[in-house]
Amino acid sequence: MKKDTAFEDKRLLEAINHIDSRYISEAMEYYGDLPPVGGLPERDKRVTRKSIRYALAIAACFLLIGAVIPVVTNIIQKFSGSAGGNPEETILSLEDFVYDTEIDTDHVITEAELGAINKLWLYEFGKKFAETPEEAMRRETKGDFYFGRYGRTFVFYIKQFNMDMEFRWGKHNFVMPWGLFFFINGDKVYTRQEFMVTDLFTQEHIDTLYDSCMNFYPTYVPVITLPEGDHVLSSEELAAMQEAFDGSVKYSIFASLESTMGRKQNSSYYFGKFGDTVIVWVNEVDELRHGFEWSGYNFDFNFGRLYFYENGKFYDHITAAENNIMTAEEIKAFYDHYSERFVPFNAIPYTCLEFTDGVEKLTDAEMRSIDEAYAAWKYEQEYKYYYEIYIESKYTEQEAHESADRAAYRQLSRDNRHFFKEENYQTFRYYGKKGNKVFLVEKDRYADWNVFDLAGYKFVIDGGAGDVLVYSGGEFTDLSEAYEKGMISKEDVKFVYERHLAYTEYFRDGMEEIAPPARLKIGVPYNESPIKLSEELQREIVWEYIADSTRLEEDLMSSYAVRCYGRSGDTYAVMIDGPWLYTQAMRSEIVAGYTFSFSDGQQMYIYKQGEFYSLRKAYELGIVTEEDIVAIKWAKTAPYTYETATAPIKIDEKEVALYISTYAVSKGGHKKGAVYSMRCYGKAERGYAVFIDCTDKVYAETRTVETVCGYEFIYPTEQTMLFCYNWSDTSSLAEALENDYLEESELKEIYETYRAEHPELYK
Amino acid sequence: MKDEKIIELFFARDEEAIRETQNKYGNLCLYIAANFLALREDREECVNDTLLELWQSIPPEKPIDLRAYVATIVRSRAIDKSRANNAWKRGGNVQIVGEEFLSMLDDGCDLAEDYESVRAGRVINDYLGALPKPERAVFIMRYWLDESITNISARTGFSEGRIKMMLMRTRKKLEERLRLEGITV
Repeated sequence: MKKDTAFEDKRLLEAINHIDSRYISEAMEYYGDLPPVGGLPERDKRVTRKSIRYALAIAACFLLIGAVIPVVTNIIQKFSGSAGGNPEETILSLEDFVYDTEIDTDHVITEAELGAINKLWLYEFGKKFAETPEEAMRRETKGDFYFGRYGRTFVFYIKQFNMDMEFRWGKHNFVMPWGLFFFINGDKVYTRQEFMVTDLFTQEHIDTLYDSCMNFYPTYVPVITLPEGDHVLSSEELAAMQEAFDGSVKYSIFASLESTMGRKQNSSYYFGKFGDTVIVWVNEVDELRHGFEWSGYNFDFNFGRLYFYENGKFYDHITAAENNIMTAEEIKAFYDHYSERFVPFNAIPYTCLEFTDGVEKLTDAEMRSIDEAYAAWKYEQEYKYYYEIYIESKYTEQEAHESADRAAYRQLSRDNRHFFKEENYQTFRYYGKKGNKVFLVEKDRYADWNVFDLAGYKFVIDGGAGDVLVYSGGEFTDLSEAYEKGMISKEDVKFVYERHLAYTEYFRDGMEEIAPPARLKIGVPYNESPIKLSEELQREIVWEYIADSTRLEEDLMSSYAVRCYGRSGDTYAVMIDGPWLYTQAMRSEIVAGYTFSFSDGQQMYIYKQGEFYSLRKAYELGIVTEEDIVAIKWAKTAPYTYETATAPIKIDEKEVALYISTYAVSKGGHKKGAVYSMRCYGKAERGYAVFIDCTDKVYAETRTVETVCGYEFIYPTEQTMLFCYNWSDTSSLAEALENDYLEESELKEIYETYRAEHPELYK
Repeated sequence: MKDEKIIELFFARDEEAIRETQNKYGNLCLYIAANFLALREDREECVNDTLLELWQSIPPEKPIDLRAYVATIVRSRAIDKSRANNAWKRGGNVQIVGEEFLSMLDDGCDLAEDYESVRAGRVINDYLGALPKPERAVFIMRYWLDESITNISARTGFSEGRIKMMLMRTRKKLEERLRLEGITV
């Protein structure tokens, strides 16, 4: 379902379980005093109290057992001399072990210790850490790595891509190539960030771990090359900066010399040391453009933050100037470096515009001006959106204004909506300029197709492209609105239309015609709809489904249609056709034992009173019954033309339909004009042995032999017999036998029937 | 009774803690369970399981916010019950194709795959932290509590159209954020 596709992914569903309890508590504020739900009758209340007493009694037993076992275990361990020696002992916690040495980087994990580790890992992540101690102690090249035991803490490093880890701990700068640290101690699995704020590691532990890390990946040596004359920070200088830095634990730009003195595009830039002042610029998403004048020199940073460090303290560009931390000569040297080396280095790459052939290019100044105007325009949109939310939340006007301003600013910076940030995909499709007007299409990867008429020209804007905009006088205006206001002429519209045609020409073969294909009209879906719904009802269903009122203009509404496969009162089984709605491949759903296969990624929903349910959920909630499911399944076979009669053994007509519809979908969907039929050679307790024929499918005339459990089935073509079962599934005879859907005695009967019908094949 | 007093009763192992929790949060538990479980008997069983888990976990746990703590447990139990019900209905040999496919993501994947969920959780929390409170609450109600749009509208006072717009925006931006963090969805 489009509304919630982001959360059908299992990992995301799992991730939602980790939502911070503060946010949950905040949401709970809306649930004040709830009315009784159903109201438990008096009899049931007695049952509930009894259940609680029963539950408490069991809990008490477990508590008692839980208290006794560790005591007994400890006694046994103490008498046995050392912990973990007997793998068959039940160890409840890593704290129960006793070790002779404080640190052992090659500590051999015992079965008992692994049991405790697995228990914690299972609790945290839902599965075991390792099956064997050997697996737990893996030290793979460029993979997982076991760092040993530090006191009662076991340290593991788990491979995880895209996780360059640079952090400072104690007096060391750790630089790890990838992955995540996990520290398992006592009754908890700690991430690195969580563990670092505990006091479970001494400096000695950290030193030892650091040495191990360096041995783990010794080739990962940061390479720092600076132009001659640039100051190279010493480890002592870096340590002092790190100590003075008041950043969050998880993110320290001064974790290492390599990160501090890096000069990476869109990351950080080390300007060097000017007198006693070290200057670093960092690309931080929370910081938008800031330009300032200092001692007569103009600095302009598109985004990011400047760090000035001197004598144990950090300054920003404002406090640096206020405190005169640099002399005039030092400021000039900083400016010279900035203008000669930083500006060209950080020049915005104007490569993300999609110029069409022959279209006049924009100048750098023009593109910069569009960039600024676009950021301001988007800010206004975000501000308006949040302002309305806060007003509806009963904030005062002043509060709503301040909150909306903050939210819009933060949202904008997080989106990093800059025109020329290629990696953010926030590019425009540029259609050219006429005089002081620039014509652009704002790309939006989530945008649906957009079809509209303007000045006699029919625009079909492909999905993934957004609104067509006119930029003029520092402002953006929608193309249609600009025309209606007289900002652009009919000639201008023609100009854009022709540019759009030229741009889309290369993929226009995929579009049936410039106008929407005939099928994309409400009431005329992709396939036949067994039950015809009124246009009004279809609009209601599409409205609810799309959930985006701003896009539901008349022309766009005409691009969607609703097919109905079942109706009962105000409950409908529907499939919604429309452009750019579905991205999944073939999928199936089993409901009450019946398989529904969808070959083009569309899904069937049960629609009831404004809500959509999957077939399975609707069945589980009792919204539809098994009879309804059968009827829907039956209706969905309607597109398939098939012969109902089967020979030599007769099969019920409905079952023929069910099996054919599933089979047809699994083979690539309905083929227009094709007619299906079945030949049945055996009726088993759980299914049928059949051939499914299709007029659209011709098998090679190759004598084919299939031996199943010693029975030789000889076929005149490459087509083989199938076994249909469970009302909608098909498999080979061998698979059916293997999966116990077919008995050997039944197979024998099938063989004998088939052989009797085709003696010519067995001569 | 205030939450602090109820927690004190738990620590004192006084059964009155269960009764007071039932009185104060029983309706909330049933309400949350109802979002995941169709049958009344299942919801009641879920609430009983929640009370038992509270008794077993407090102490040593000492929730800062008892209401959120209770809500988290009952939601978790309801989801477990819902999954167990589905497994029973599916029978021994028949699997939901969709879940079979999803479970294939687990089979053969190394441990780093599990951390994706944990890491995704951190990204989601980070993202939620930047949202205004009303948007955040709507998100939680929809995706954590599994509330319908109509119910969210009744709770918050926002129109259904506004809620749909908010959810669509947050979903879009969250998806983009996850993609930028290298978490594939």
